Order: sequence, then structure tokens, then C-alpha cells
Amino acid sequence: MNTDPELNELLPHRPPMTLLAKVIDVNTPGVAVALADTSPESVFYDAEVGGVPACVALEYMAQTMALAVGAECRRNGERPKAGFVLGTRRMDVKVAAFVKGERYVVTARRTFADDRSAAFDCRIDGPGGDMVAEASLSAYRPPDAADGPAEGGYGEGGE
Amino acid sequence: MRAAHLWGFAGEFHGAVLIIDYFDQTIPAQGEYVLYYRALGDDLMSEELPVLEVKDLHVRYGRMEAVKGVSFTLARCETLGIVGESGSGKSTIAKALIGIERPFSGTISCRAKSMQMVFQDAVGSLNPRMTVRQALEETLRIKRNTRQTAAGLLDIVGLSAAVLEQYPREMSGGQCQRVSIARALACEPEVLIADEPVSALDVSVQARILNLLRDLRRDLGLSILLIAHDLAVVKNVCDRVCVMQRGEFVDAGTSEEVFGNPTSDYTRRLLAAVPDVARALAARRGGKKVREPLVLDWSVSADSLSAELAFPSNGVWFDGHFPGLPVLPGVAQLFFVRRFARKAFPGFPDAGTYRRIKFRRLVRPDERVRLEVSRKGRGAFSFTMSVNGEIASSGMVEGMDA
Repeated sequence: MNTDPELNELLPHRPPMTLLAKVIDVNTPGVAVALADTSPESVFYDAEVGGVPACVALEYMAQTMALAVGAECRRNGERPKAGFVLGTRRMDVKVAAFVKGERYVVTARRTFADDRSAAFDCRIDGPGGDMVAEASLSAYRPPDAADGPAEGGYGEGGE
Repeated sequence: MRAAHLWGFAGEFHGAVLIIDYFDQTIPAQGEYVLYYRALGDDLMSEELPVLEVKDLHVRYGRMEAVKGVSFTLARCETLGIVGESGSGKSTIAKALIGIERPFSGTISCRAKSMQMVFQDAVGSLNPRMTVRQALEETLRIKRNTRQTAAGLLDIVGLSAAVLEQYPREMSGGQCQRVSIARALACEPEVLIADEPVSALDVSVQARILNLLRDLRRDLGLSILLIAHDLAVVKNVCDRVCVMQRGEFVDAGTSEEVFGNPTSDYTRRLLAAVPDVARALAARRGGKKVREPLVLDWSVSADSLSAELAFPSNGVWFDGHFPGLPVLPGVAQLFFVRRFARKAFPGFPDAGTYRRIKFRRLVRPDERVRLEVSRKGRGAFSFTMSVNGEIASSGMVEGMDA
């Protein structure tokens, strides 16, 4: 369950689509560390695999990226800005699911940013401290995020 | 063949318009038309004028009047739907337009250099003794079209050159219809008349052919007259719709007007008979949030899955991801690719490598989403989710042992 009020402050997302459980560290500019929500209350919980399926790793990473951006906004006295994940060239996930009740630490580290786009190297470490997922994600921020991307798509991503 | 002569003749007059006036008293015998050709100034060839204009068209079979004074226009790059039940006269209009049926009276004005027709029976409309290459190259040769090749035509309609040496019997109905459309395109038409082009095809193939027609209009600037008995077919493709009953138009307007606010009881009855997605979605709604999309179509083979989904606006995925912007998050797209791919392919992987994952288009509530998953080898699958032919997301998933 995501009960951490700091998530609401830093993320544009709102339940039930907030998929992180807790903010761990957002003090380093361009870096965010958070705990993934793997509880049965998660929108993407799948009882068949006893947790949240591997593909959701992408959103854990994306929301941790948003956390880093949100922390930056807070430092600048701004509200968190919404962005859109364009994709990833490659995401490796070594587990079939993020198991209920286990601790998964998600880290996003910015590698590139300009006015409209950004790229982050992301990883998820499992209960034993081993890395269980990694990817580089690119994201796009429209001029006014409340308007969303332009009609007809928001461009190529991930390549 | 009268039709070929008629339009072939018109095609030789660049910058000319063909006007055919039919008067019941002036057609002396079957097969003889009163035709008026005249060179036109720029004003009449203006892009703003309709490419096809039909006024007060009457067609009779003996004493029975199949078409009773129908008038309509088709603008350039427009798709006009004529819809009605069997026997309403809609196909008779198409036949009159290309000269297969002789009108009793009326005027047909065509500002197109070429007009081609695509038929319902795609397999039957192709010569069974000709390969695809032969059929296309013969048409190109007859039309003296050296700008295009058989393989190029196939590419336009989304077929690979691998089918060039195949006969109609070796292809699916959808492939035959694409070849049939390619053959029509060999004549470089400005107007395409499609008479029930998808009614003999599976639902999943229907959507793809309709998407193709829509793409052709956009990419080639075609004007399309789409004739169908199924309102669902015309609803998502046509700019304007005419509803026909017993030889007359009983409703006409933009698709939104006709489907949103039908003026005739007949249209309302037709609409009521259609299993409408919006109605199904509305029935699914209630105050309660849902976690599953509607599955509107489902087709699986050993190596591929094609399904049509719709995500109702009361789905939990539309809440809170982009506040104020109800769109289906990319993660929800991936999640349902996995959900449905696992139903089709028990070996669809979770752990592994996700390659070239791209999100390209927003998916909004109630939109019909086409999911395609293909097996690319042991434990490897590619997927796309698309809306109206536009890819919303795509990528590959490879299991650990792929």
C-alpha cells in the first residue's frame, strides 16, 4: 500500500495508479530511490503469480523517474510535472513477478535532459540486494502537461 | 464491356469531365447511352467541386423501381457510406455508376479521370487461372501504367511480394480482397466504389481491410463510395453516411449526425439491430470501476493472436495516471498484452528481455484497440496495440530461454 504522503507531493500520479509504496531518497539531483508497491491492492497485482508481473517493472521505473523530476520541481518551488514514457530499447527482468510482501528498491538516475525530454538509467534490486531488473527509459514532457501530448502521437521513442 | 469502355474513354480526357445524362425518352435501346463530354475550364475541374455528383437517379427493373430519385455528391478525398438492408437499392446505385445497370433517368457527373470498383466476392472477382502477378501485370499493361509494378501495388495494400506467384485459391479471403484492391489501384483511380468489400470476411479481417481503405484515402487522396449493409462497418470509416430504404435515402448527414441523432425510424431500427460497442460499453458501466477490458473479437492460431479490445471509461486504469487526461497508461497496455498473450500462448514469458518497447499514440476510453501478438521463435513474441490502424504500442518479449 502506498501511504507515504511524500508520494502525493512529488508525483503527479494519484491512486490507484501510484505504483510506488514509499520514497527512500530524492536528495541527490537527478536521482530518485523508492520502494515498489507489490501489495494485493495494486491495480496490477496478479494472484496467479503471487505478485505484480514482471512487465510492470517499466512503470516502477517510470514513476521513480517522475519522482526525481518531482523532487527537482519541489526544490524550484514548482508543482510536479507530468511526462510520458516513450519506451525503452531494452529492459531485462530476471524475475517472473515482484512477489507480494517482498522489498524491491527502484532507482532512477538521469543520464540526459533537455526542455522536453529526458533519459534515465533505472534498476530494481530485489530482497537479497541483487539487481532483478534494469533498463534505460526515455520520457517526453509536453509544454503543458495538462494538455497531454499532441493529437496523433508523441513521436518515436526508445530507439 | 460497357463499363470499361465508359470509364476508359473518360480516362483519356485529361482536364475533362464526363457527364452522363439519362432521360427515359432519349435512350433508344438497351446499351445506348446519351453521353455528354465536354472540355472544361479550371472552374469545373476545381478541387472544391465534388468528384462525383448524382442527381435524381432512377433505376428500374421492369415495373419495379429499385432506385427512386436519389441524389448525392462525393467530394475529393471523402468517404461516403451508403447503408441499408438487402434489396434497398444501394448496390444498384453502384452498378449504375459504373454502367453495369442502365439508369432510367437522372444525371451522373464524374470529374474523376478513372473510377474503379471493388466487389464483395473478392475470390470470385479474380481470375482463378491467373497468379497475382499475372492479374496485376495484365491490368498495368492494359492501362499502360508504367509508373507502378505488381510488387509495388502489393506493398501499397500491405501484402508482401511472396504472394505474387499464388493463385486466388491459395490465399485467404482478406488477401484476395487486398489483391482486388491492388488491381483497382493499378488503374490509378480517383474514385473507388467498394460494394460490400468486407461482408464476406471475418470480423478481424474486416477491420484491417477498412483500415486499408482509410489509409488509401489519406495516402493516395482517393474518394471512396463505401456500400454496406452493416452500420458498424460504415460508422468508423465514413465521413458522411446515406441510409437507404426501398430505393430512397431516408437519412443522410455526417456519421456523427446519422449515428448520434438519426432522423428516421428506419435508421433507428437499423442502429438498434447492430451490436454496438458503445452500447456494450455503456452496459458494462455502472457506478462500479472495472479492471478488465471488453473483448470484442478473438482469433488465435498456433503462432498469432489477433483480438479487439475496448477499455471502458470506468476502467481503473484511467484514474490517476495522468490527472485530467483519461488515457490508457503504457503499463496497462503491456499488462493486457501479457494477460491475453498468456491465454493464447501458455509459454508467453514474464521474466526475460523486453525489446524496442515504444509508446506512440494515446489510447482513450472506449476506443477499439486491436491487439496483435506473433510468435517469433521459441519463447519470443512481438506485439502491437493499435487504434484505427495507428500503432499505440509495440515491442518484443523474449523469455530467458529464448
